[in-house]
Amino acid sequence: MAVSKFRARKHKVLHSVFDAEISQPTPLLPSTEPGEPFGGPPPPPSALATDAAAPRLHEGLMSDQVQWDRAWHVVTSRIQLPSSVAIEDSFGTLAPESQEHDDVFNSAVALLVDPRSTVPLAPHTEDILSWHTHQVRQHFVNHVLPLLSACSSQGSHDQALLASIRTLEAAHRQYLYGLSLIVRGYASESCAHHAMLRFRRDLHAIIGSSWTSGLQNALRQVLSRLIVSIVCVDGAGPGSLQNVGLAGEKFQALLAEIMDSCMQSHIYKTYHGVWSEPRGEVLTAVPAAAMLTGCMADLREWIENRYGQLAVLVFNRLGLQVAYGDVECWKEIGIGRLVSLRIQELFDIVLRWPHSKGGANDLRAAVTTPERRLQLTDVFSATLQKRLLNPGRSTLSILQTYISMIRTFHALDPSKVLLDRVVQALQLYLCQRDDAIRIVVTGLLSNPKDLSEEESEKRLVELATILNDPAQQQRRQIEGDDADWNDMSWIPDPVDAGVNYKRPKNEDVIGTLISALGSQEIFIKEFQAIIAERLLSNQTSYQQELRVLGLLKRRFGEPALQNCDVMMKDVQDSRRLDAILAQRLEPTLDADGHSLGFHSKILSRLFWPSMPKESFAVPKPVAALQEQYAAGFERVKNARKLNWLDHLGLATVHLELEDRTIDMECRTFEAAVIFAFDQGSEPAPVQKTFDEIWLQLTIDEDLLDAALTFWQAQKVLKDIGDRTYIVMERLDDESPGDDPDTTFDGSRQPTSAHKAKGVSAQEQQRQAVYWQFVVGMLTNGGPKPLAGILTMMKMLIPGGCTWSSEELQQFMNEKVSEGNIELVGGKYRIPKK
Amino acid sequence: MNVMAEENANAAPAVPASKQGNNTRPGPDSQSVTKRLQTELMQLMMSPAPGVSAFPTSDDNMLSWTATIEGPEDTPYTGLTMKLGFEFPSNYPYAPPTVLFKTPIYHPNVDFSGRICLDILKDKWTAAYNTQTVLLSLQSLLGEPNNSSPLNGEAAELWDNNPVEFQRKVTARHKDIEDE
Repeated sequence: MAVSKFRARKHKVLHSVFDAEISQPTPLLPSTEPGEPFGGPPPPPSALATDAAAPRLHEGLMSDQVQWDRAWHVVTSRIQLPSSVAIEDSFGTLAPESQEHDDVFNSAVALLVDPRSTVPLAPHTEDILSWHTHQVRQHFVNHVLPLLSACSSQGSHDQALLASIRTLEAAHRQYLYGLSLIVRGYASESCAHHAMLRFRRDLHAIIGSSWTSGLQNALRQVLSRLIVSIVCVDGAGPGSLQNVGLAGEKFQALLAEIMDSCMQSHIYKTYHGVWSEPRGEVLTAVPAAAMLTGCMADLREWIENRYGQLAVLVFNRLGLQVAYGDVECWKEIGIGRLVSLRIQELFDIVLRWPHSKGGANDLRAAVTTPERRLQLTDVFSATLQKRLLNPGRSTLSILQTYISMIRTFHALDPSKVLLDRVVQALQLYLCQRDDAIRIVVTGLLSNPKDLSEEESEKRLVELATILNDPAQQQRRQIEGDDADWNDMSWIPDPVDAGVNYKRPKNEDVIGTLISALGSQEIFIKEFQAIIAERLLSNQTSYQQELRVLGLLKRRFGEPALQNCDVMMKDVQDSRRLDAILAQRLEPTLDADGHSLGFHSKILSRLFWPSMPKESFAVPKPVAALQEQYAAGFERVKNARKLNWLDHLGLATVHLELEDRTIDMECRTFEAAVIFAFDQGSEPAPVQKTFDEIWLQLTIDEDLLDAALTFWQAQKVLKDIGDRTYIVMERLDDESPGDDPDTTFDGSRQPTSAHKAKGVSAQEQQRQAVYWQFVVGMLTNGGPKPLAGILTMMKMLIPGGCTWSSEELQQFMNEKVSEGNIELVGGKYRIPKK
Repeated sequence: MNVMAEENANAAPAVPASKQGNNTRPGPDSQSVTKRLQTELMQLMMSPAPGVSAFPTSDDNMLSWTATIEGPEDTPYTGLTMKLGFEFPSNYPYAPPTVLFKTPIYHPNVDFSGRICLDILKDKWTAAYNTQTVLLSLQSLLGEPNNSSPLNGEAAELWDNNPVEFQRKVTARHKDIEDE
């Protein structure tokens, strides 16, 4: 009992929610005479029994019910949808409309539409409209949907879309036909309209929720193509979509998506890599917030006139409105996109500076919020790491990029806050590049006019150009003033500036660059070494050096550069002194009657970078001159002694060979070596071994080696094997291909001899100490890996170990190849005796 | 009242703390030991004596060293290499380091656990000695044992009476310790 009750209740509930039970069209019966009741439902036996007391009433009921049933049959059979479908655009033909039929139908519909007034007594009535809706729903699911999915899987997107639309249109025709028939029955216009709207809404809801992914894709493709080419003016797409019920929320979302990607691709296509400044706009010094540069203005115009209008058009078709504020909003979005693009491109902008000014201007105008500034620096730092700071880049190109960076960022943000933020990684990286300082200093000292194209590519000539640029120097002078009250272009410090922020006044490329190269001491030291080299060369004027020195003095202060000052002064003084001393020398003639000249530069030892003394037996005539010269000096400068650095300096050599004479300038030790081959007028070619010369001159082996190589390259000496050298009195002595050594490139690195020697004395001493440490460590502590050795050395050597892991590695490799140490299983050890 | 208390509280920590800090370390502090040892190490490195060498065992403890002595020529120890451990006390050089042979060695003045009987490592120690002098003394001890106060009686006796057997025992006992 309880169970059946519960089931009944459940059934009731289910029905109240889902009106699932829908009556089928009444089966077609053999036609009956009009007016004659045909087989209505037989009265239920129970009703017959209980209603016997009121037969009149029952009769009325019966007739109303019959009337209703008949009308129901007429209408439903008329508007019933065909159950099978042949072709996509027609779901069966519409029933022909005959006048006579219509009359019957009309009255039937009128009866059905308002059963309450027409057949008040019929106990069983239904809403014909909901019946139709339900039928339509079933039909759509069973027949139209499969067709739609078939359509959307068709070849091209166009076809798919068109087929889908056509299918839906046909379905609509069918459904609306039925509806229109029903609506005829409504007495009042408003009721009919209301019913119509309700039906449409239901239908569109059904269709709207049945997007197939294929259709969506197709629509997206077609729409985006249409929109991009902006031929959508006739509105064919959206219009017809609206009619067939595809213009629902999904369509709007799709449209938004498409418009969005359309804007993105437009920005990318139009502005990517385009940094030009259309209309040749000249940037004023005052950055006005409202000022828009080329690409920005262009983009705004595009959004307003093209993009916006298209959107308005589409929305109008859909019966929606576009507010003016929306267009403004789109502009903002568009500019945001442009800025993101520019931020991505910033590295390329830097590389192509100054041809990419427009791009930087875009950024400057738009990057105003701290968030965007942060985004900019983040992205740029990442790019920098990836594209610049890797071993594949030469130090020179890194420095060049850095210069461009300084200039670009200055244009972008004169406060330098952004630059400071991105530059740290670069500075750290530059500290690893040993040659960075040297490149900068030589760049500063180079003379752009003297250099050929090719050479200037290898140097940072930009620096010299900047240095000579009067604009750069002029502006520097205002620096130091805390507040320049006449500065009309003053703007407040950026909000994201650091605590100790100080506003820079100009680009100051050189200053920024120098400050990136690590500590001042290192820079000055390197500068000193380079300037010493240049001062000792036989160049006559030192204008450029003086200018650079002046610049550095301003930057680092006078005391820091005192040594360089003294060096300069030394060279100038010794020029004067030399003139006096050289005059006092007794004129000396060499064996062949050529007069010997002798000049020197007198340096104050304490102020110059340490220059190790590499003495050797100076040729006798020269030694005599040296003595006289030194004596003269001692007379002029009270009791101060000259200490000769024999290996530094230049000599003019005149060589008379059998078939030729050679006049050339060479280094002193080279001259001494070739002088050792001078044997007066002995006819046979002079021949000497390496060891002989070495003993005779007591010269450093490396120097001797360098000198011999030099003379071989000059085709004056020839190695006849076993380290024995012979003078080539005749050039044709040389059989071609005889001696591979003579293919040497004659040009040497002018710095190498000095540099290598200068380092080696200190370095050798250090190496000796380090070697003792390594030996002590390995003897007592047993085998150790490289890293272990390095940490020990860093801890235990007073003042720390100055070597990097690579340097130690190299050192250890040398020792391994010399057999002083073994590398076994990744650990070094002292070989067992 | 309150003010007074506060003033006292503020003044209190600074003064006595610094005084205490100075008083708790009688004599040379660990800093000076480290510095002294660093100097000694540098000396050893700059002017190494032949046949002896020493180096800190690890980079974090300056007070523990490992040393190596090569057996002097014309002694039973010729061609052998001996390892020793040095432990420096925190008041070094006012107290001698503790020195032990790590390598098993057969010697009248060294017992089987490597302890050494040498006067300068005990009562004759002065601050004038250093690691290098200790090592050189030990090296000479190998050639000239002090047989009047042996730790290893058998060795002392063999040294005096049976050099061949002594040599055999030395070679038999010696074993190069493999480094980690």
